[in-house]
Amino acid sequence: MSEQVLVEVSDLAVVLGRGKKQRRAVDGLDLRLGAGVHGLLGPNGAGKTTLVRVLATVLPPSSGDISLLGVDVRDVRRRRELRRQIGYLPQAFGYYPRFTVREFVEYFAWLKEVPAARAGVAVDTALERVGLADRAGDRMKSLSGGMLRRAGVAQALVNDPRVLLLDEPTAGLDPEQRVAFRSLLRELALDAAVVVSTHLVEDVAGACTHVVLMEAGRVVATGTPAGLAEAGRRGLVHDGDGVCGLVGSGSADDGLASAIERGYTGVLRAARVSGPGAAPVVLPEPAASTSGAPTSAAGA
Amino acid sequence: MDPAAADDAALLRASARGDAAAFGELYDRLAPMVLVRLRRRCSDDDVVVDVLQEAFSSAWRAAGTWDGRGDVAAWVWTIAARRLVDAFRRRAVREKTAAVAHHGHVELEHLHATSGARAWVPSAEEDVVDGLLTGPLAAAVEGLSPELRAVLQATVLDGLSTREAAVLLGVPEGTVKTRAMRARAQVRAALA
Amino acid sequence: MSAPQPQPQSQPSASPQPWHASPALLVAYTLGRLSAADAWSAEAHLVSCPSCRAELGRIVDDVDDTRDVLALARTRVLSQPPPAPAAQRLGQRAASAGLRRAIVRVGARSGAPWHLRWVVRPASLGAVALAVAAATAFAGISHVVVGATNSPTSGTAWLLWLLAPAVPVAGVALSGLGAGDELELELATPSAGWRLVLWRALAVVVTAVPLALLAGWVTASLTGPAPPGLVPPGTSGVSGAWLPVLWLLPALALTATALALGTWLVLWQAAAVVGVVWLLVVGVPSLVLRTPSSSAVGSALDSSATPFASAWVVHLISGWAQPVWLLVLAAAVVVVVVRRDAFGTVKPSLTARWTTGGGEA
Repeated sequence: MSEQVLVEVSDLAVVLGRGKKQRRAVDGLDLRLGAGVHGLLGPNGAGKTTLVRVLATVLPPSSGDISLLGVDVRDVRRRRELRRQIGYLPQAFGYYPRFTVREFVEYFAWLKEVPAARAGVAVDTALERVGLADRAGDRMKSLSGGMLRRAGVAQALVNDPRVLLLDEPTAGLDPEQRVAFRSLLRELALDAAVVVSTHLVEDVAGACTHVVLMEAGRVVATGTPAGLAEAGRRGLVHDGDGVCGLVGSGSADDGLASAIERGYTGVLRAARVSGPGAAPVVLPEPAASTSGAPTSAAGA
Repeated sequence: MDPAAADDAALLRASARGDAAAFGELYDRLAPMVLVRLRRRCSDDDVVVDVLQEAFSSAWRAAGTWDGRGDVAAWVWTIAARRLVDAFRRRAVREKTAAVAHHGHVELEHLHATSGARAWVPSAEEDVVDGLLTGPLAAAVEGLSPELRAVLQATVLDGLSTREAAVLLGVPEGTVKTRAMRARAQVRAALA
Repeated sequence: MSAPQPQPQSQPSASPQPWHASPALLVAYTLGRLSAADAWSAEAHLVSCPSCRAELGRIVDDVDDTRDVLALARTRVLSQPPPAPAAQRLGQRAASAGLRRAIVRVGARSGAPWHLRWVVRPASLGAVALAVAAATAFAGISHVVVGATNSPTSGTAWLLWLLAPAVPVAGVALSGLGAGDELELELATPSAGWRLVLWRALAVVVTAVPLALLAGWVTASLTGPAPPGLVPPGTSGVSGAWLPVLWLLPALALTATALALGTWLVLWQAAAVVGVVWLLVVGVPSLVLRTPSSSAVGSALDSSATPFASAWVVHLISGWAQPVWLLVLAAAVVVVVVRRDAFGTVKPSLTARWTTGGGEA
């Protein structure tokens, strides 16, 4: 619905730890995201979780600028107002085992300052969206891993966030739930930036409108899943100057999932070869492009 | 408790305790209004029936959280309006997936966009509550273009946020904001 | 159901509705034949007028397909009653559920934040109560067991009284620890930060202080009134059962110090540091200095009417020390106020471990 830029990151660096253990988890990262489902891809240690935590305003950036919905995350006075519009699901989260599922989500509705008059219905809608309405009275400790994950998603979207950050949301879900979950993501992404860190190619193919590939703390490519698949099929990836990597024996006959997989590994390999400081890879736009220009693009 | 004799608020509180008879009575009292109102906002009767059902199921589950302020009918309608927005979201996604662009809100164009002047003209609200719009205000509402009226209906009469109205009307949020401002300016000018 | 009032002004009903929609108007409304302004009026009126809604119901009931739609949705809605809340399923919890609803309702009416209970970490208050109870029991039992040879002056009651200021600190530690990674989720919410931290600390203090005072009173009545020589210096007016009042300032000061330290460390770690330091300061002298005497001769215990250890730590809660605690409290509060925004995010320098784990789910 809206074409505005919801998330804007420029030259972000995040330094974690201190002394000998100090390291730059994110280093010189640029990103602009509009409404849509943005798949955050990359190997372990690429900085996905750190980026998500910074976007969630949980972790302060060491340097660089981040604005969410036009608000600087370091502006303490507007932090509260900003956080009302954020939904966040970390990889692992704690909960009070004796809470019921409804209480758990209600608790977060309260923390997120959802007006009391709306909270009841908001909680209800969130539980229904993740398919937990019939388990609302169950205690958290009685839930299976997949259901816990869904409860976590429910609390993330109870405030109808404009920026929704989900770290591995499909982990532990069975295939059927994943399908339902992907259509939910697309629904939410009509007017919100949904950032999903995932390692499942099927998530990317099935839910994402855009992809952001990370490696060693920076963005190495942005584009659409179709573009990633196209790179895999053509066997080539490009950066601003021309061909910068060879993906391997790509084939036009590859299915979407395997083409994306191939494109993903190829782009990462190209990024490792060109090293830090290289311009991000430009993913090809397939002829039959999806409607609407990609709002996700890495700044130079 | 005799459901037929209780008022809406008492019925809702009884429903919160799981009293199906009470909620049935509440449904009978409110559902016709919700149904007609939904139909005026969505011509797809399948969607309307789904939304009607979802809205009342949701209202029953959330009954315990009603804060006791205002009319129960208004509260239930707010739930129904949000449910309608959700239904439009789902449809928008389906249409995007099917690559059928810009279709589906055509039916919204014929909305009889009755708009509320409550938010900006206090006397207008009294007019609304007391009876039919008359005189300059009615003329002002009638004089609005369908697009402007649709925006005012969604934001003022149905109490939706700009964001929700944008989904319902299938236009960008910025457009909703500018249309709302234009509509208000027009109504204000007509009343001056 | 109230009587239908299709005719305007035919009968003033209980609710002062000066106007009612005519059946003709409502028929036109259901058919979508009203002008925009009239439909707007009708809708605004219908939400606030039960009798016109009833009339609308009768009109709609005459249309076959509408009646069917309403009946179908009705069946579906009523066939899926909402799951009863867990609290209500168990009979014995119905009362607490009712109480909770009442609190929520009062909260909503007074404009106070709903669900005040959310302010408190569910685990922490129970833990505070348990800690106080355990400390009291410990003091009581040790008094009964060694009471014959060990007068209150030798340390049992004093031990409890000296440990008591650390109880709220323990509560603060628990309130930040109980749920582990939940902190991560909570931090991303607008309520996170100093407001929530202070509310929770306040809840802990409000629970812990009366409990600890009560426990002190119970202990004092168990062990008998303190001998005249035991009145801490500078507290001539405070003796016997009132001695526990002297905890108040140290307890508040220690809690505030924990919060102040929590602007640099993770809150529960900061509270743990403060708590442990306090235990060492108070506990070690009383234990270490006692050991040689007990190993040497048993009778030494009896003669320890005013053991050095007790006498020394007693000064920590003496009347002389109270102004010092006040200063500590003030300093800690200043630190908390100045550095309050640090509660709103995690500390990057402390989080190296967190992120290297990747993919633990």
